[in-house]
Amino acid sequence: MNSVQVVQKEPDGSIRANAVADRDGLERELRESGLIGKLLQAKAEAAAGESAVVVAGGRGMNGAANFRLLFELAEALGGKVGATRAAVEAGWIAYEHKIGRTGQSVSPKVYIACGVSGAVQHVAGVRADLFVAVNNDPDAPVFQVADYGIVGDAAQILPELIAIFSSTQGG
Amino acid sequence: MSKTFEAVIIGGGIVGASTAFHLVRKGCTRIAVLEKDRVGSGSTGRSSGVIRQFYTHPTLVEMARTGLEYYARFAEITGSPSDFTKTGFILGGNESNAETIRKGYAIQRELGIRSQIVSPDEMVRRHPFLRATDLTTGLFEEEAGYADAHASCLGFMRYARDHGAVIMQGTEVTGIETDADGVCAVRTNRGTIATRTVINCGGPWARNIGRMVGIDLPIRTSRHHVVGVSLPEPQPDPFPIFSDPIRSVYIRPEGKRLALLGSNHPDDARDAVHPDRFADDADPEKAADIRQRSSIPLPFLRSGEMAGLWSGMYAITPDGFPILEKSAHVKGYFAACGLSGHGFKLAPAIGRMMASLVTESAPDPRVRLFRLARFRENDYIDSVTTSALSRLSSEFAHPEEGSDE
Repeated sequence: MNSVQVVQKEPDGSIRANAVADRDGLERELRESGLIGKLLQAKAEAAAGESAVVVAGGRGMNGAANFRLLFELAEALGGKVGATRAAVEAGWIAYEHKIGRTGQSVSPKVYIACGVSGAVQHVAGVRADLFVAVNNDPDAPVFQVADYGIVGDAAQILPELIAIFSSTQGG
Repeated sequence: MSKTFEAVIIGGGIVGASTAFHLVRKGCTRIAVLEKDRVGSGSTGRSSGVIRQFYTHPTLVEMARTGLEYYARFAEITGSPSDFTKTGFILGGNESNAETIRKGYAIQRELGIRSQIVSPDEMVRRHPFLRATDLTTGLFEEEAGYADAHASCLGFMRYARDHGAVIMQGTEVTGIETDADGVCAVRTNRGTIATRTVINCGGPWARNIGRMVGIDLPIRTSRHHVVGVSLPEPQPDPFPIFSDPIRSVYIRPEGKRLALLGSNHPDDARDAVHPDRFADDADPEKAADIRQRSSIPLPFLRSGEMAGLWSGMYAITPDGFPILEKSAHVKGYFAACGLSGHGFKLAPAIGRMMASLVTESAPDPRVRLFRLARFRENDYIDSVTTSALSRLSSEFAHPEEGSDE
């Protein structure tokens, strides 16, 4: 795994950032930061029929093949899959998944944006209690919007998240 | 945050991003871009992204051509996509603007831009869904298209960042300090940054930045609507961007499913907003009106579903063209602002001009056209503009500020 950083915005606006070097480190950091607990809670709510989780992909998913990972994570969390304009126009996922000003508006408990840059027109379609961003560009504007950021390649990080939530059935 | 930078760019929109890109290309790499919110979160993120080259001043046509050259080859130049889609562009006309079309066409021809004067029949051949019986002439520009303004802004920024620039988002400028040698530092909510060069690329907020060095920029911010409408089956094909000066609307495709409709009605400039109290939601009545006006030349727009409406801000100057300058009063202070709705298409050229102005002793002479003093000297830029509407000098204040001119 290439180097990954987990960034958390504290309620007072300060930033807590920790670099992790391997899979165990990533899982430990996600647990300690409280993200895993929050996602498990959303998963439980999803199981109760709430529309609790949306996992969305953008240009940074680099192709249709990686969208399979979004569907797997969404399934593990009982959520739905969304996409940006760029991803649907590229034909990586069906147009109906488009979220944003010219697509669907969603208001889940948790929004997990993967390879999404954070364009105004996309973010305008999202009203989430918790916004999580996974992107390999530390300067991506999406991290300004996110409560939790994972700086790293989504194609590497998603399998780790899928493994964590597939093995914790029902939390 | 005690670093010293060769230059500090204020504003992380397309103009700031292009300026950063061109500065690092010229070897000026120890620079910072300060963005109070996030990259591309102001006018850039709401731009309709149209790139065409019709103006009636040759410098503007050249600058638009530079814009098109950059966006069409953006990945090659910056390593990131612009999502440029070539569609062609039709500017409709009748007796009221036929002379303007002829003038712009003559300039384009001289500069080697591929365009032609088209008859009503030819317009319909180019745009089979066009039903504008009152249009008697038009101009077709072959290479025009649209691109993703936000992606382009990020592309310029990433290139600059990868070559030394530091991008500071969530960093709001609160003051600019000067000493006997001019600009010496920029104060922000996150500390003070030492620099001898500040470039005001603040878009709708540029006026506030100007005031920090005692310069009042004649920039007025107004709200401009864009409406998305889903396309019918079969989709219009071909579907060039169409500008209808009689109904004061422009319509462009957005991918394969949507059309985006924008207004360039003179009255839009009167929809003044304060940039700090601007909500980008849209006025449903305005949206309905834009759609109604757009449906006259393109009736298929009447039947589609509404697919999003929003507004973005124009930062409009008295002649509807940008202010680009190196201040004669405050050493080290530069401005690239008042883009008046032309920001996206002109940004590549403007960034290049600003980098020339900052780094060269004999900079690009064309910049002079855009100097701030032109308004005082009554030497306005003479070209058609979507916002020539804006000769409303008496209204050149933020709405609640009234008479502080």
